[in-house]
Amino acid sequence: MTTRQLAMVMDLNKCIGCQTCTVACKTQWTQRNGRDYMYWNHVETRPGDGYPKGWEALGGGFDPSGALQDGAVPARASEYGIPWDYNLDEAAFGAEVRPQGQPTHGPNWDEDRGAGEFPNAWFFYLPRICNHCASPACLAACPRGAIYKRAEDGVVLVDKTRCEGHRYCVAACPYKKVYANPTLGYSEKCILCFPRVEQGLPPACAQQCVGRMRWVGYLDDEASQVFQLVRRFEVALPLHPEYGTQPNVFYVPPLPGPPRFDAQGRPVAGSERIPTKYLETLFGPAVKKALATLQGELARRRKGEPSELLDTLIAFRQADMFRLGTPTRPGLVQLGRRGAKSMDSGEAR
Amino acid sequence: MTARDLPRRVALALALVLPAAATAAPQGIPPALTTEIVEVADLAGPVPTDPASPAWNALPPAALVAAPQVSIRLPDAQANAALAKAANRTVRVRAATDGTSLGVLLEWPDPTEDRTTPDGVEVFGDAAALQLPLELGAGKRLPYVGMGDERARVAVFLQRATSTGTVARQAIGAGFGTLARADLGGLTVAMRRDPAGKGWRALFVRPLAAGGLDLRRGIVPFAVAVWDGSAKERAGNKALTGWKLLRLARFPLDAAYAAELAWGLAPGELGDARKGKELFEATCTACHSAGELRAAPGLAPDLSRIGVIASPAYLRDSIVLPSEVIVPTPNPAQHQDRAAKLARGAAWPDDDGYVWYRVEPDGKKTSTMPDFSSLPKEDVQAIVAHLRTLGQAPSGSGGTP
Amino acid sequence: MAITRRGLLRGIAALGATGVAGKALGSDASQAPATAAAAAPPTAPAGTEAAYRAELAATYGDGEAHGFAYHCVNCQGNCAWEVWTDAEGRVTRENQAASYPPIAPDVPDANPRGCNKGAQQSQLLRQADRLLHPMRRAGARGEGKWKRISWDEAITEVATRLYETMLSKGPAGNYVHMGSGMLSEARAASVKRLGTLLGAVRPYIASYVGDMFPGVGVVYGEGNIGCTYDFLYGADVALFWGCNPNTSRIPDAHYLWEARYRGAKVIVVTPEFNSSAIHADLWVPVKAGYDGHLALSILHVLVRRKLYAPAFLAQHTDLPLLVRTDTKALVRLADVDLAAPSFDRASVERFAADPARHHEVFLAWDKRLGKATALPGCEGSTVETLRLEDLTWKIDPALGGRFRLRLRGEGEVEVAPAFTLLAKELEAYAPARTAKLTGVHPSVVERLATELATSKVAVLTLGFAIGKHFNGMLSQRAIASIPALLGRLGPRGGLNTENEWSITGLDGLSGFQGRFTHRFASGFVSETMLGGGLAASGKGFDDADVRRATGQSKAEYLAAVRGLVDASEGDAGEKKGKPWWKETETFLLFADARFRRNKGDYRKAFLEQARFVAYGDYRMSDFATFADVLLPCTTSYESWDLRTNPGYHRFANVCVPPAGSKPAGEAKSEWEISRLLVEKLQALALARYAATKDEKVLKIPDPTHTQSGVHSMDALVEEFTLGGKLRTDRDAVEYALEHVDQFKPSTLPAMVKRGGFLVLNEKAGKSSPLYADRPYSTFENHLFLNQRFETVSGRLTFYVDHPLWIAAGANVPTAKEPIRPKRFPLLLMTPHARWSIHSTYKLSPLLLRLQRGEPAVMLNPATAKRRGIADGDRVRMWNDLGEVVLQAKLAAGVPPDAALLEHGWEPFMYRGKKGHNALAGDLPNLLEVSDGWGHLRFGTNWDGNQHAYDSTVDVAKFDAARA
Repeated sequence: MTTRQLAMVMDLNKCIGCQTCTVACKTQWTQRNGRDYMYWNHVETRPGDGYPKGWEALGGGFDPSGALQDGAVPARASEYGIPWDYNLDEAAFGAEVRPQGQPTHGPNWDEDRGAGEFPNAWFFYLPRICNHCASPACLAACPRGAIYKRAEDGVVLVDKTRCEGHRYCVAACPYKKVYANPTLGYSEKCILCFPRVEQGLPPACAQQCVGRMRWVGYLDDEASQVFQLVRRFEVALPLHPEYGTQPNVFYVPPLPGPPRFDAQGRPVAGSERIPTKYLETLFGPAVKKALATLQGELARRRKGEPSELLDTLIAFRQADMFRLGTPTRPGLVQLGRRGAKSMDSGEAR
Repeated sequence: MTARDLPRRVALALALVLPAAATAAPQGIPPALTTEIVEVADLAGPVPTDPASPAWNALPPAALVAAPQVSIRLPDAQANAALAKAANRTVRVRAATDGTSLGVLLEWPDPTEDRTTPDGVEVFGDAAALQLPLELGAGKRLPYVGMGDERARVAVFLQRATSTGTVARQAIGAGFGTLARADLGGLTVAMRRDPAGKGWRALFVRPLAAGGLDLRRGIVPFAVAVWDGSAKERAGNKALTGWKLLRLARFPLDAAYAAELAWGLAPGELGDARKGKELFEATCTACHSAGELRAAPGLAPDLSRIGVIASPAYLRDSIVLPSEVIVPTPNPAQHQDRAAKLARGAAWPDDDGYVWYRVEPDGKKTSTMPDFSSLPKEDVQAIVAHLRTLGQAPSGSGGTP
Repeated sequence: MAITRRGLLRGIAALGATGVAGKALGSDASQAPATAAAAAPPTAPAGTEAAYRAELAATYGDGEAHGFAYHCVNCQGNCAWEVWTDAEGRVTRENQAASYPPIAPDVPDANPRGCNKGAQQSQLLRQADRLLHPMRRAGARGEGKWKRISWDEAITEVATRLYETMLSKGPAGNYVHMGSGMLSEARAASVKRLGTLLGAVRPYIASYVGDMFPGVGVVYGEGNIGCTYDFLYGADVALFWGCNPNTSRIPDAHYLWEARYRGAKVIVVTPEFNSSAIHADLWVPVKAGYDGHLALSILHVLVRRKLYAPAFLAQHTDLPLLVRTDTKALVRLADVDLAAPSFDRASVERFAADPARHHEVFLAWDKRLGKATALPGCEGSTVETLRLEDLTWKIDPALGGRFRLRLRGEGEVEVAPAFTLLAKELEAYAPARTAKLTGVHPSVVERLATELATSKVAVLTLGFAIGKHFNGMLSQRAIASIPALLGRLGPRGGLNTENEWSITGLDGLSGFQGRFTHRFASGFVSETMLGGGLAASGKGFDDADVRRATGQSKAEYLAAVRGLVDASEGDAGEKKGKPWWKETETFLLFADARFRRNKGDYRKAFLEQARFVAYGDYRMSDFATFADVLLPCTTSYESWDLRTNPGYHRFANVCVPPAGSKPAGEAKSEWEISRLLVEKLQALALARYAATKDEKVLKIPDPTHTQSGVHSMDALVEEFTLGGKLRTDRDAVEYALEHVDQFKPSTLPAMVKRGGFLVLNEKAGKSSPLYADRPYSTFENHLFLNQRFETVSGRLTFYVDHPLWIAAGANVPTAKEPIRPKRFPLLLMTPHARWSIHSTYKLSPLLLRLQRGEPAVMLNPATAKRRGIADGDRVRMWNDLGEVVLQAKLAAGVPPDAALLEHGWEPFMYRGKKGHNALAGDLPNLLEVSDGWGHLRFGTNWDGNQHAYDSTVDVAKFDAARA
């Protein structure tokens, strides 16, 4: 029974698509042990095929009656994309440096492609991790009950000692954020960096986010930004709520973007470069109210009025974006303090 | 039918089972069991560990029908698409013993050779399993054939094809999802494609008596299952047989055990299947799906293929003593109770309408299947007779609609 | 012995793999295929949660042993990172130190500065293209045959070449350069110091990479001006012109979007709809290369609607300066008949007491006296202030009107304030007229003018893309003129290119207080001449192209450029224009992957001239494959270093290697390599002297670049090491901390304790104070204290009367057509990349997997459709200069008439190892070559750019059969 839920809010108006989060996660967890093809965190450009390719069409999740739906295990080459290597060691020897095997898809294949007709093109960035759902479809799909939610923070984990690598979780997760690890023989996924959180370190993707667009905190902590943005202001929404898994990652939807241009090149005031209709397909009908709230606050702000909501979204101190408490439990590997010891290597003055 | 017909029918059945050796009913075996027998050959030399060994080819195979598992549904779209088209499969079984170890050789058609690989994210390997009751003998009810049940556990011996060869697994099961690795006294396995590439041979060799499992008996119930990786089959997505009997002639026969196993197998003891069909469709299909009669998925086991895999004795027990044959609910989280009143942000509770048993305050488990012990014996037998027909489609013509 | 390819470049053992008990799908744990597990703990822990905790612990190691670093590459980002190591002190990963202190409660802090590339620097340490050992070429250049040699062999060979060249060709025969791949204050100083000590040639980086702001220098007297990025948070209008901060200013971009939440309007002006435009309040799709026309239209509106402050123009700009209406020449005090009745003679004694400098004193028409008056604050004025009113004077300069003034020996001429000529020029740029060229609707121009003029704080950030067009310098100047006309300085915002801190005391690190001076070459001219000269650089443009862009025939134009370039060659021409030395033949280069950068046939020409090329780097770049000797260098995590500029923020970061870590292979720091070379040079010279007794081999004459007239080879070590004090990269860091005022008070331990940085003190501000609690913006001292600008008039400069500029109609801000050939339909745009810093990081598999894995050209879907090209297809892209093969990526934001390709791809990443720059033509712009006028004298504020946006191409589906 989950007693507390750690949640994340991502502000898509602050995401710059740099993928520092993706790299931070990769170097922390997934560039070894058969995980090379996995991206526990990635950022996809929307609209687009996404990653894995066409994931929204691969099924899973629950239907409106609450029944688990069938899903498909994505194909490595065509849907995930093979983590191609390079003949770097041959560069010195007059070789062309080429990917080994022609790349076909990858976690950022759609980067900056977007939609619309120039000059009315539009796109935005959508970072995705495991939603650590309140009703995880992966958990519901496992025939061996090998998936569980940690009581202390609601992190969804695959128990590698129970998992036999059957991959029904991979198929059933409608976000396709559970990955088979054929090398280790069990499924793996974003662990919300729980070992870091236990040490008071935020998840790598959030701590290293240079756009400062990720808040992490417990949903029952009314002082946390996640509570404020999700529950109080209701501007942060789950992705594809209709999937029925009750995600605990929430998104502040993107504002409509710069005005479109008419045939004469005149900007059309109030035009939606990013169509709200499209956003509804991602975030549900609630996106209308969320956008209205944001635009209302922006208008007031431009009149010089204060806005608690916008101050929250600005996030004046990065360190304040993470409210993890300091749960230190016995038996943890205590990470050393960063400190002056590196000076001992030489005579510091 | 008349008693006069019996020998001919038996002979026919034997002819089916042992085309190479159409003999009379083995000594001490209730006639009713003869159709279920697989003779274990006595070998002078050691049991060959190579599936391709000529010694195996010399033995007459018994052809068993394995039906795709549909009792519970697993949420893989590709696997279920294949399952909808899946036919019963014939698994030809040979068995031999040298007095110290038992060898069971399975042979089944599978045109695609599927092996797991270190980067095969969406690749599943062909596999086979041999299942035995963990406890045998008089008074020991046969476990539920699908991985056993809480009161009657099974020993499972599994092997799967990998890019580097074959991997083996010994485990104990007490129902869906409960399989746990265990040391059952050692296992030697090998999988080989047949030379023509049309199918597999999988050999299991284990000591007759080891790891708390003593098979030195006249008859030993067993069941087998096979998986086709190209059909995304793994875990519960498989084709399995019902309980069959290994006949070890060199060991004494436990007549009482044989009698228990024999219940309802002799045609005369089964009731009127047509009447059974009426009763079944009037009473059972509210919860159970069978063929084109569909109940809400997950509400109760789908019985479309039950005739192939469940013994009459088990079927009887599940009707009149449902709480005696409790199997775990397949993952209760598969059904959310959307009618529940939720605190803001709270998770949907599981829908207990899909739970297969209740736990009483005293810890006793009561099946959500109503107890039909009040039914007249004839009605029970009639229903069993009907259930025995479900999924008994000839191999290749497909089983469930 | 010859060596095997894998043995040679093998990276150090994979540090990343942390062991975890594995089981192949459906197999028992005991049968798990071995996973690479260099750093595997002895026993893999049981249990899921314990296993993940152990993995974290293995990457984190002993936190106290962690190092600190920024990544000293040419991204200018300069972000403090904490470098993680495992228990054995091997680097595993990094994260931003994220401990920069807030400067004020209402300003977002700078954490966590960093980007996608910095976040994987650790992976480079073990990458297979890491240079681990010194090597000598064992085959033809670029053939890929190498022989591993010892450091002593390598140092001896390089030192011998340098020494022999000094003897045979003189110091100018050597070209010693730390390239654009390494911008830092402590580390880069090593090679600068070596080159300076030897009097070698060194080119100006910003110019040859085409990232210079010469057009800004014209107006403000310096090119690198602006604000710290936190200042943008307080802006009401933040306009980004020709840049894409979300992609190329990743660590700073958050301030824009936080500013938007504060109430700012963010405006992006770029031809393509890019990653910054998506969040903007207004995106202006200007046609590529017509930015100057758009800027002049904005100026047109500002002047027509009088949206400027006349008092500001009169005091702080050169617009009141009197110009002869006949010759368009500025009237200089030296021209004036001091007895002329319409001249205020008293102003001479008051402001221009030194007759020798009268040619740099300018005049205005004082409306109070009705007379022309000499002005204070000019280059030649003896009074430095721009004040128009003081105890002893009051001037009210006219911005309009026409007046008569008697000049020496010329009689009376008509003169008028420069403003009238500017206004006249601007008449031609009515928005309705330029719309056809710029593609920008007049209503948008009006809106831009209004926003920039009427908002309280407006910052106009100018990107590098503008200067990459042939006439980009003029566009930069026109854009830079907008804030100048509006008086946007200091707290009012203004132009933002790259703020630069004033850091004093470092000259002693890279130089010798004038005892020796390096031969500082113009970046674009010397590279052009190295690359086969003007003939080669003119390729790809026909007569019509050149006429369209310059008004002159190609022959005339080339002749004019050649005339200037020839005149400025060698020691004799050094002060006569853009310096370059034709006798350079021995090259010692570091962090300079120049073959990915330079255009056309540069490689061929360079290799013909370079008799010897020694190259130092940590990686095998395309250029490195053509070297004669390779010197393996350390990376940011294996060196000590310190960096301040540019001033996007107020922090100086330090590199401190993790405790107990060792450089990969035999890699050495540039300081050690330079010191070893100096020691060897001295030994060689002494040995030669012992053998020959010939003074000349010890005292190599250099009258122009040494105080003593000679390079004393027997004193090299003493000079280079400051008597032994300066031997290592760490010594250099300590030296900087001791000698730089702006760093005080700070010590290395204090910086490490803080998280690898120090906060600059108030002295770092160049033209404004650096307040401890306020974001920084330049030119406050000029706005409020009336200090003069570093221009010839001491004022913001709109008017340039250099004869070439007058002839080109550029005496006032103007705009000219792009030179790109119209024979091909698509403009090749190669903007700064999200995934690399120029070519650095282009070869990171981790990053390549987050792209298309190979060079990919972005095309508008309609453009592609017409050519039957689908996303992911391989296409050939060609023009008169050549053809390359790459992947096509369809993107709706790319203009239909453009092909957009992130720059920096190494040539050897293409088929046939021919990079996309083979398709790029370039031609030095005559006005950028022009020199010797006022503040337009060669230096870091007045050089020119190598251009990259002047080529057009076509694309078609690649037919492998045809190839």
